[in-house]
Amino acid sequence: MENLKYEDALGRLEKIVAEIEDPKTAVGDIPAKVKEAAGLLTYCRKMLKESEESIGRILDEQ
Amino acid sequence: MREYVSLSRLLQGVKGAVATALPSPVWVKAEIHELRVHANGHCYMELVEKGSGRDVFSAKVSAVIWRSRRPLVEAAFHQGTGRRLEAGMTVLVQVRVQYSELYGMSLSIEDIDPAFTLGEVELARQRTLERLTREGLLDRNGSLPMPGLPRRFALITSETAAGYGDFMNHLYDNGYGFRFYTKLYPAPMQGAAAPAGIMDALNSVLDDLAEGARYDAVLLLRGGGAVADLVCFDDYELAVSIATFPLPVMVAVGHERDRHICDMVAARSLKTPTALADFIVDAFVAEDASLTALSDRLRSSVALRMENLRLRQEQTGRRLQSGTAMRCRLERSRMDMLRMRMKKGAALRSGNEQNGLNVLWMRVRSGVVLRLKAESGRLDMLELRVRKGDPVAALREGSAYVLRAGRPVETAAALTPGDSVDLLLRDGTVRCLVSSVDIN
Repeated sequence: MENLKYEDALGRLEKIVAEIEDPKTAVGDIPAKVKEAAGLLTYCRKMLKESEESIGRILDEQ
Repeated sequence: MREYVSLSRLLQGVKGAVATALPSPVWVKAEIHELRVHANGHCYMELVEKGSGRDVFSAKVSAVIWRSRRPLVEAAFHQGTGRRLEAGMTVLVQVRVQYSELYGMSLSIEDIDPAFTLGEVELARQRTLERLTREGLLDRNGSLPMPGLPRRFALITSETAAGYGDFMNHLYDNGYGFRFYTKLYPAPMQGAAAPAGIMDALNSVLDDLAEGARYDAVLLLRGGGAVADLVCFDDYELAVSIATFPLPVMVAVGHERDRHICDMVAARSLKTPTALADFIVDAFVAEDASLTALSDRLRSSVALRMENLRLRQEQTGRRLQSGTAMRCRLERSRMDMLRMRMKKGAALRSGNEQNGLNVLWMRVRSGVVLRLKAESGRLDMLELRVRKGDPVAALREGSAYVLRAGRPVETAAALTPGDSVDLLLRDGTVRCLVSSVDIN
């Protein structure tokens, strides 16, 4: 996941959400999907935070 | 025997008749055909009157100016005409007719009318001038292009002429360092031989031109001298040679009062050789002054232009400085605004993304909850069906209902290896083949 772009991670997260919401998805598969979704969410939030901090630093340096 | 008189007696009679018929001096018009001054001081002449032909005489007589009369007659003539008596001249003389038994008849010239000769000369000069005008030769040489700065000259004059030295001194020691080239073509500049001599010199110039010599003009000059000496410059043939010469001819024959025909047919005439030299040098001086003025204008123009350029450069430098500062301020301001926009944009985007993520997570959570609730509902329904007597529905998790040939199998002992049985599960049926039977 480390090399995953934010947009790709977000896309994957949206897909998982849709799968969870889909009744055709096996219930037994849901925990794994939730686990992956939680990981992606953490990854996206981390990237977002890092970007925000980086931008803030750059702007502050000017 | 016939009557006769002696010769002397006869001639005495003639002498007496002449003395009686012409007791006083008379004025006679005649042309001097020959003239010679004897060593004794008397001037002997032969006076003629020409007939219809130029060389046919209709009358001829000897004449003399006695030594005692000569100073008087010649001085009067020279004073009046500026010329000296010479052969070819038509004169009006006062003569006393004298007859000598020994020497025959002769005229003793006692006086002369210079005004008459002057008129004759002027008349001849006018005729020459009219002829040249008729022949279109007066302005011909003057119409040749004259170099603005003539520098190379064919010089026709007499080496011994005073004007020659003056001319050379003025031309070469001009005080400005202007350099000229002259080549002398010697020619007699006075007397009857002058026209032919000058024409020979002009021909020599033509020969040199044909061999590659380069001249800007031909100069014909002589300095000062009596008017009589300059009559040759009224010669028709010489005037034609000058008028038709292929180079401009400049004439300075050195007399302040008169203007000769050669002056009139030449491209330019000046009074004296010195004036001619000054004229040539002055052309260079004027050009030099013009060039100096141009040089000064150029220098001042360049200085002005340089000053303008320097001012423009300074102005441009100042504009550059102020413009750069203003642009820097503007760009700094724009950068600040962009920075603020970036900061706000980043924050906004980050917030949006956070919200999006939150929404997604809520969807995960609610999706899971909903799904679990749905599954729980399904279980509840199944339980309800079990409770209503459905053996399959009553099955607990991990149990199955066994049928053989459609009939329930209640014990293991009822089965033997090789039997085919159906296992009914809550969600379907599994057909199995019994491989062994173990009884507890």
